[in-house]
Amino acid sequence: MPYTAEISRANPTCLLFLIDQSGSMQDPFGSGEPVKKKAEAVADAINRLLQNFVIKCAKDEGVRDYFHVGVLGYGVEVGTAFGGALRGRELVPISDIANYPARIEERVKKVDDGAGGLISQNIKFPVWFDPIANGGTPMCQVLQHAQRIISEWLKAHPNCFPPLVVNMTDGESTDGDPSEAAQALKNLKSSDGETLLFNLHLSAQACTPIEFPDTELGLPDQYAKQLFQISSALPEATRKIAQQEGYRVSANTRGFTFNADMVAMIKFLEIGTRPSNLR
Amino acid sequence: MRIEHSALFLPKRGNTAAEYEDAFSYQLQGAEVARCAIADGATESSFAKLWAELLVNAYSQDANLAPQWADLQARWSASARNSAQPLPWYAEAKLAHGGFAAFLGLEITPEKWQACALGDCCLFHLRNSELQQAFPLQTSQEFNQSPFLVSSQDTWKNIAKHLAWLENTWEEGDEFFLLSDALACWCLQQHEQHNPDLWQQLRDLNPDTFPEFIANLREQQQLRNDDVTLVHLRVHAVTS
Repeated sequence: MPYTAEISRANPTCLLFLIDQSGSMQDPFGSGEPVKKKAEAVADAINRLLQNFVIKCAKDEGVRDYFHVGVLGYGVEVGTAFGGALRGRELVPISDIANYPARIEERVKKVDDGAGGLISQNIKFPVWFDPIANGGTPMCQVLQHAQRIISEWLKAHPNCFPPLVVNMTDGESTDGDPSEAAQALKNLKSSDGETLLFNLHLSAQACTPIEFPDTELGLPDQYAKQLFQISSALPEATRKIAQQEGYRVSANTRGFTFNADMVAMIKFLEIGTRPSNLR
Repeated sequence: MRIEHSALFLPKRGNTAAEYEDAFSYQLQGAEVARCAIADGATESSFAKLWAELLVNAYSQDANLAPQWADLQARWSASARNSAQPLPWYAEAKLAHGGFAAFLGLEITPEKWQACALGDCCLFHLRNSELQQAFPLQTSQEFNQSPFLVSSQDTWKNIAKHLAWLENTWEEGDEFFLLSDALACWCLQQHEQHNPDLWQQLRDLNPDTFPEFIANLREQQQLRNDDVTLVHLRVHAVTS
C-alpha cells in the first residue's frame, strides 16, 4: 500500500515549499488587524511551520533528521529562499534548520492567565525566511526547478515516504499552463508512491475558503480549476487527519484550498504536513 | 501469595537500546501486596523515557499517584532541564509541551487485583489459558495513532478523569500479561482470529528468542515497528 513507508532517521523524507513572491503578494491579506501583506503572512506561516517541525523532531539528545526541508521562492527570480547561514541551500536536514535560523526574534504572545484573562509573554520566534514581493508568477519554472531537486532526492532515497511539495500562490501562472510541469513532478516516485503536490491559493478578498475539495464544481474560474487539477489526492492517513479535524472528505479529496485566509492557511499546512508514521 | 514474573523488551527496529522509550517496574515482594506497571513514552515528546520511568517507579511504590503527582512533575522538569545548559530554543519549546506516556498499573492483593490505565498499554487476565479480560482496550480496532496520554504538564485532576479502572478476583495459577501497544494490538488480532497457540507462544519466549520472534512479526508486517514490552506474571496463593 502506498504512502505507508516509515519516516525514520535511516529513511527520511523531504518537504519542499514553493512560495509565490510576485508583486501582488504585497496586497493585504484578509481583514485582520493589524493588516498584513500576503507575503508577510506566508513568511510567518512558513517560519512557524519550520519551527513546529524542528520541535516535533527534537528529542532528548538533539534534533533527529526525519525530514529534509527546502523553500523555493518564485517572482523576479526562481531560487532557494532561506536566509542566513542556509542561504543558497536546497534541501536542508531538519537539524541544520534547527541550528541555523537566520535570526531569532523576540515576539509577544497573548496567553491564558488561567483566570479568564490574557497576559503577554515573550517568546522566541526563529526566522529562516523573509517576505519578498516583486515580479511575475513563473509557476512552470519553479515546478521544473522542484522536479530537479526531488529527482536528485529520490535517487538517494528510493524507498522514502514520497516527497511532499506545497505550492503557495495568490494567482495565476505568468509563464504558461503549469499542468505539464506539475504532472512531471508528480510522476517522480519512490517505492512507496508518487511525489505529492499540494496547492494553497491565498485569498485576495474576504470570502469563504474552499478547503480540501473533492470536485472542481463550485470553483469560480479556470485558474482555480487548474490548481485543483494539478493537486494530488490526499493519501489515506492525511485524509483521516482532515476528517478528524472536521472536513468532509472522500477518496477524491485533493490537497488543495482555494481562497485561504490566515486560519485556513495554517490549518492546511498543519494537516497537509502532519506525519503519521514517525519512528 | 507468590508471583512468578518475567519481562522482555526491545527498541524499535533501527533504534539503539538506549532509545527504547517504554519502561516497566515491579514490586512483588511481600505477601500482602504486589504491584507492576508498564508505560510507553511517546516518540513525539522529548524526555519521554524519563517520564515513563518516573511513572512506573512511582506506581510500584504506591498505587495512589495523586499525592505523588506534583513531585513527579517537578522531578521530570528538573532532570530534563539539567540535560544541557543553556537549552537550545527548540529544547526549551519542546519541554513546554511536556513528556507524554501511555500507562498501565496492576496491583494484586491476596483478595483481588485492580488495574488502572490511560492510553493503549494493555492488560490480559488469563485463567487456564483462557482470556478472561482485556483492559483497557478490548478489540484490535480500538488502537489508533493518537490516544489520550499521561502528560507531565497536565493536572492530576484531569488525568484522573481519563483513567480507566478495573478490578476482579484471582485464583491459583491465574496469569497476567502487561503489553505495550504494538504487541497488545497483535495479541488482540490473534485472539480475534482464534489462534490456539497464542498464549503458549508468549509464555515460551525468553531473552534469546524474543528478538527473533519480534523481528519476524515486523518483517511480515504483522507488528507495527514500535518499542515492545511484555511482562508476564503468574499468581500463586501460597508461598513455597
